[in-house]
Amino acid sequence: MISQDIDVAVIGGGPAGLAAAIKVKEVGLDKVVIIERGEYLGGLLDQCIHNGFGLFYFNEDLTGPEYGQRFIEKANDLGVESLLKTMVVRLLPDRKIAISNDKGFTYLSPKAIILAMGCRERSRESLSIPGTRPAGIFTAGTAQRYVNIEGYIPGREVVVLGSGDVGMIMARRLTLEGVKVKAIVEVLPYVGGLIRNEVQCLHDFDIPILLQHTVTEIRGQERVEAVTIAKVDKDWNPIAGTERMIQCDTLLVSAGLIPENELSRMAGIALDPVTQGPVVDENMQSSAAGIFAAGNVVHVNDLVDNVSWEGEAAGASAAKFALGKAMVKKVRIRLKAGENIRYIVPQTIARGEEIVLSVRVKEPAEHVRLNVGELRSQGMRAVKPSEMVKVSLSSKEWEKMGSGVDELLVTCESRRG
Amino acid sequence: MAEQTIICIGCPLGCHVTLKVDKDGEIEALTGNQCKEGREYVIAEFRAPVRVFTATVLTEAGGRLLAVRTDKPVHKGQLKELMAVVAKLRMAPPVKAGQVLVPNILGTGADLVASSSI
Amino acid sequence: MGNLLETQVLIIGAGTTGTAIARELSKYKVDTILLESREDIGMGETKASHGFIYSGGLTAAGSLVMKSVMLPSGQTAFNPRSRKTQMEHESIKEFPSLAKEMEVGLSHDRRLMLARDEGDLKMLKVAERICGDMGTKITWLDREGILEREPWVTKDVIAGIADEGYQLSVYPWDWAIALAENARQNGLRLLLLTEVIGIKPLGGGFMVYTNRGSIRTEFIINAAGPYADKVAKMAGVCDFGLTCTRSQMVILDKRVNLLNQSVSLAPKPGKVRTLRKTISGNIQTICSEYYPVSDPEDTTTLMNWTDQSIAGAQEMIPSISKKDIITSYVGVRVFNTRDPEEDILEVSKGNPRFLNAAIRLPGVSVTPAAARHIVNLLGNQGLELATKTDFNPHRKRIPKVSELPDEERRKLIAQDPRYGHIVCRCEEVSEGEIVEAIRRGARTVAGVKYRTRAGMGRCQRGFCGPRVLEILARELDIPMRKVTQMGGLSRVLLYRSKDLLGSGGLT
Repeated sequence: MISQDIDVAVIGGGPAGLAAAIKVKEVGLDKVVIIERGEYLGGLLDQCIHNGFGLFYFNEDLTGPEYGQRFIEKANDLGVESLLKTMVVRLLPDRKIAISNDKGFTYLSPKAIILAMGCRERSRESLSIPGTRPAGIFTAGTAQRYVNIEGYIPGREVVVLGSGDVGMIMARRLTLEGVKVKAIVEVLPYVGGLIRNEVQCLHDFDIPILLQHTVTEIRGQERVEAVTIAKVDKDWNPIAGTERMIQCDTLLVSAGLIPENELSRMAGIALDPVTQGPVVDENMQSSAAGIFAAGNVVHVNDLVDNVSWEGEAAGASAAKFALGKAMVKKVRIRLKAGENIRYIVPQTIARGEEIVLSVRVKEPAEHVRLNVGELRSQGMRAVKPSEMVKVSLSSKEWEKMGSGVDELLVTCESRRG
Repeated sequence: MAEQTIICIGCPLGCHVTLKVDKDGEIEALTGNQCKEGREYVIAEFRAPVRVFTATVLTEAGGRLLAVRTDKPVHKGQLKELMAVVAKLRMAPPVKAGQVLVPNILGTGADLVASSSI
Repeated sequence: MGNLLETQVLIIGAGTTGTAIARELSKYKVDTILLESREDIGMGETKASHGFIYSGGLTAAGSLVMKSVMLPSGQTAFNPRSRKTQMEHESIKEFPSLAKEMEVGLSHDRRLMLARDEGDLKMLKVAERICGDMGTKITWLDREGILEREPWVTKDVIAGIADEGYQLSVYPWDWAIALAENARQNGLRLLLLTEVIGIKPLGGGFMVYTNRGSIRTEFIINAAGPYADKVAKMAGVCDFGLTCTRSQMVILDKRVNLLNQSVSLAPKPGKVRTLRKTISGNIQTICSEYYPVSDPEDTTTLMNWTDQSIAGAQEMIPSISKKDIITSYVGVRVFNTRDPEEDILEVSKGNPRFLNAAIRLPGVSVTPAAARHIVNLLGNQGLELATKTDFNPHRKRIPKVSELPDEERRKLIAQDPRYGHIVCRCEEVSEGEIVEAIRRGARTVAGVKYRTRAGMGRCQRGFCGPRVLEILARELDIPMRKVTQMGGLSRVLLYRSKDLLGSGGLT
């Protein structure tokens, strides 16, 4: 079966896991294994048949499968081992993991672990959308799998709840397959995903966008027959009298992604309540020594390019750890979210360390300054919650930091004038 | 003279740029952008709105779908026509990612290539 | 089905009542058919019922609730000396051994009833009296004592009473499925998707017309739940009416660890507030109002019931939040209007071979005794009851890999590798379990869900959905497009890729 003598176990064979495993090999460690619960490597890339991947990582405009293939081929060339249709069912203290597949139920004790499990979608049920519980309700990502992998179209008249990128991409995809997408229903006063998708998925295909609306009821006994939508107030409460019914046979729910951290919880790893992923440092190491994390399991990313970079960082660190190289003890600085900042990853960094921070804002704003304590102030034309911002700190900028300070406040302020 | 609004997708501002277009289809005036990259994008988008086309193709005997794409962007108005062509295609393995399936599809100057392998 | 089937006893309805009677009858050399109009067992009232096995203390609480909320005022629904209550007493002792015989999960839970003010305290004293009446031991606890048992309970509590016995509960659908499987092992014939459309009394029995053919039977047991009155009318013997109420339950993420066992607030008129830990470890709220409903199929959830459920839960455990919800559902409860205190377990007045078995909640609780009672009545009505010497009471459950010790798990995977392939990540359900569920009769996504728990977790079929569909299609040898969520018109996927482009264009 699989050798017990593993240096690094990577949980998840999507873009984060692939990049991490490749990096471990490149650094010179031999025994790295990817443990993937699905039938193939690449994670969700295979079902993302649209383009827009790799614009930054490869400077090319690739489709999801093309992007994934680059990494899969490299992983194969380097001899990265992978276990498919294998689920990690336990993550125990001391980096012991229990895996299950058709060969058996086994415990492994790798020297280091990289968590790369990605995220799951918010379901209709968890949103407590009232009404009946018929067939025809799918999360956008699951629908994407049916459409692009299995080759099935869920229905012919669709309403999409949520204007996140997955929802918009699916609206276009379904329209091209002959489906009538009757509306995108979004509770916020602005579209949740990238502008590029708003234009190229919705405007291009004349799909109505209903901002500040939500689905208040699903109807249909055995199959969806209609949804009731209503306008909402600023607190997202439906406004009485604004209800109307939209006939449809399918509801796609694209209302949020949640990092998948059941294993992390099992291991007692500290989670950030805002990102819902592990608290990590600049090495992508979690609160548990030797357990690293990268990609959507840490925080929901917009671009796969960033996921690959995070994977590489985690891979490099995990390899170092497995080699027994001591992580130099450094002064830890906590990053704190201030005005209009939702979160910063990594959550803690070493003082003086050159680093690129991933930041998300809470509200859209124009002409702002993104500040990292006294160290850096970055002017930006516009910021949106759906578009992650990268802020780098150079060693020179660290020099501005006073002594005895263990926290940096990150803020996003409107510029004056 | 007609007016047209194009949304710039260059940055999160998403400026709504208004174009004044004369009877010959030439841009007379352009307002609403906040940077020159935006201006360039809008002009290009006005003159030739292009998109990369991506889709799936059925394979023989209900096997795994093949993902396909145009290797270059094509005029956005042709997407539905392209889809009609793709709908009729049937592929049989083996097909390698990057393989040209339909050269110069619909005279667009772009090839339809496989974006996955079967 | 063929042209004509013949049997001695035809049981109409495969919920907790029908399956219990079927299993009881299968101990005798009696030819029996169990008929169910839906796709699977227990898909009516059963699948949304609570599965509480009523002990004295709980019945007391229940009675206070039922008196105040469920029935038209003036009618009591609880009588400690009613036959129903006697049957509960008789039956409760049997559950541990039945659960063991049929390998069904049974949970033991202490019930804690809380008071936050003087009014509540009065209610607790009433409950104490009723418990005393029923011989149930209770203990009074002060706030400290309560918080010791349940550290997350609201600090507003001033006192509480704890049921010193254990309250038992089962998943009712699990129970019904096990009973049916065991009965089938012992000769029961099960007909699903078979709906009774007419009944004609004949000499020595009936001709029963269904959507799939006719059945000649000597006796009929009417266990048709909310449709029992309709079925009785078909035979010309209806002398009771039925009313339904519905209420909403909410299930919280397993990860929400704010409750050790069940708690209730002292009932107030019109209000039920109970939080309970299900067998699988999820917190379930039973906090929304009960509402009369005319259509027993109406299981729509409502926004204000969801809010009510959370608000009620927060009255007991303040840190519960709406964000913890993983799913909601509505349960329909049926009561007879002739005598709400009792179940209708009798030979009908109009026909000596037509028996009614209309059991109101608590349902599962009385079924062991109720089933025996019905079988005795059959005997009185002339059915020969020769005991089988080879009755096998043991039914093996579908192995649940997540609960097996490591070595057993390995052995099972070695025998059948599909038990190693985990399909439902949230509930750790293997392909082997799903295949076995299909082998045992699951034909739909719901059938697989209720038999294995695949799809009941926090992601609600986000990951396992497509895979369960593939497995169903493969095992049933049908195209994936034919697989349904819960039978009938509920196909999950309507079209094949490119089907909608057939006419040569896009609209």
